[in-house]
Amino acid sequence: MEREAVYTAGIDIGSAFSKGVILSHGDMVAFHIFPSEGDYGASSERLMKGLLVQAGLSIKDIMHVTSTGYGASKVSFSNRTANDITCQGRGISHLFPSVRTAVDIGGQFTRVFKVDARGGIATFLLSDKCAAGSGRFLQIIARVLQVDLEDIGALSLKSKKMVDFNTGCAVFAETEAISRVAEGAAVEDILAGLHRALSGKIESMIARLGPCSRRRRRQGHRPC
Amino acid sequence: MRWRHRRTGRDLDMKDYFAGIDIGSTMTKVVIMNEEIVASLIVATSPEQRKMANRVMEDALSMAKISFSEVRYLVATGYGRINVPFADKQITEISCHARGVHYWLPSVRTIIDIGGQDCKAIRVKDGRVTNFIMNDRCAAGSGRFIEVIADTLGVDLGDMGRLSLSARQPVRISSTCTVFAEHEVVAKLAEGAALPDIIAGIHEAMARRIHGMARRIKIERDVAITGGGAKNIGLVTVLQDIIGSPTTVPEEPLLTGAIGAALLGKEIAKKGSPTPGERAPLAEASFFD
Repeated sequence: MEREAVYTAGIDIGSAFSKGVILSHGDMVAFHIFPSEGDYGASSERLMKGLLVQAGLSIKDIMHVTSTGYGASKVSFSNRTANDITCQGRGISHLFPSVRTAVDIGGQFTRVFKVDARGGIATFLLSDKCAAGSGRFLQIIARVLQVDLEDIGALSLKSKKMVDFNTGCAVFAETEAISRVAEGAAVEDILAGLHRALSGKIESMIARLGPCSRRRRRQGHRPC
Repeated sequence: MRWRHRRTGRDLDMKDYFAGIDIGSTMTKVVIMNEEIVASLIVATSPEQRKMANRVMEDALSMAKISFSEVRYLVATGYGRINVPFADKQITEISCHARGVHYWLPSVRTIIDIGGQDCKAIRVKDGRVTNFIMNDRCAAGSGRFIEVIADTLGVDLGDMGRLSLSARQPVRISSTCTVFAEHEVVAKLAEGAALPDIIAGIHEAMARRIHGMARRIKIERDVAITGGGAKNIGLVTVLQDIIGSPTTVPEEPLLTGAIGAALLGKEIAKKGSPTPGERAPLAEASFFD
């Protein structure tokens, strides 16, 4: 006998992008992504409409809507709002059950977190004090080098001689990138160097999170 | 080989000139002195530092109306100090600032140097460094922070201090990072905050950051503020409030590093100690003849 479909929706209103999915028994029925507008409430409605059209459903068919992200509280039709880190954990462990450490490089923040077997967050670290480890860093650099943000990854792989950057600060890196360009360094070599600098910053976050230890567990962290 | 007679170890006299050149990230400073300062020059640092060093030295010499061979000892300092091939010695800007501030303000025990790309707090005693702390990793707390914000606001860097003094209610800037603070400023502008209030808020954020660093080496009175940041009256005022003690700004806050370099060079020459290492080839020194 076929199970009756139970549809649930997740709405993630981020500072840069609005993302949404409709699931049925864990399978994705529809997903939709677009840049957030200034009005988060309007963004969320547009998102939901888009999702429903894709899935061929009406809002009445959706049993439960959970909203998350920076603009979660502005979603008028949600049944519940959840912390975005909690949602990340569940989402990752749903897609990749064996993952225990995840890195989320967002537009403004980078988050590193440890996920337990049930998709709960064991520990996490958030960098919101500094643009150095975040997507903002890449945005600034792409602008300086006059390259499309989407292209910088592929370009950097073409590098033959990586330019060393001795700064993690986004502002100083910008200046350094400009002077490297003036010195005649190739754009791909600069990009490779900047990706290395960014990775170094994120790597140190992962290292700070540390291995799972008994001490951490005693401090109330969940085992992972 | 005119440069040779400079190291014959003869006694110092009034006619001996000493020079200090301080190549900072943003500004380059040169001082020539004997008993007192005879020439000083401040120019923007250009990317080709070696060429620039030659040029500013030449200009300073013509200001002092002396030739290069009359300079008994020349010390280079600052971030670009290795790019001065004609220097007798390179000394870190920390020691030079300590010595240079002592020249003008002997009672100072703590120096806060706000440079274009870094910020330092130096504890001194009798012109010698006893402890220091610096931040050159992050633009927040350095002159660059104000520069970026001035650019965003479309305000001349030189006007920031004066404008902030007319603030009624400084805006609270919560970001530390320059990039995020820039966004915060744009948001505050959109909310309709007054320009002076925003600038005052920026100075406050910066002063908090500098104080947070400086207090780790225990700020002891008297306190002097040097570097480009000292020229910003708004920043100096807030910093004073946050530190909770009056501060002094030297006559020319940009020059203390170069003065210190010249004075340390004089001390070295007095001791008659030979210059360590090889000096620049004549070809580069004769550039000035």
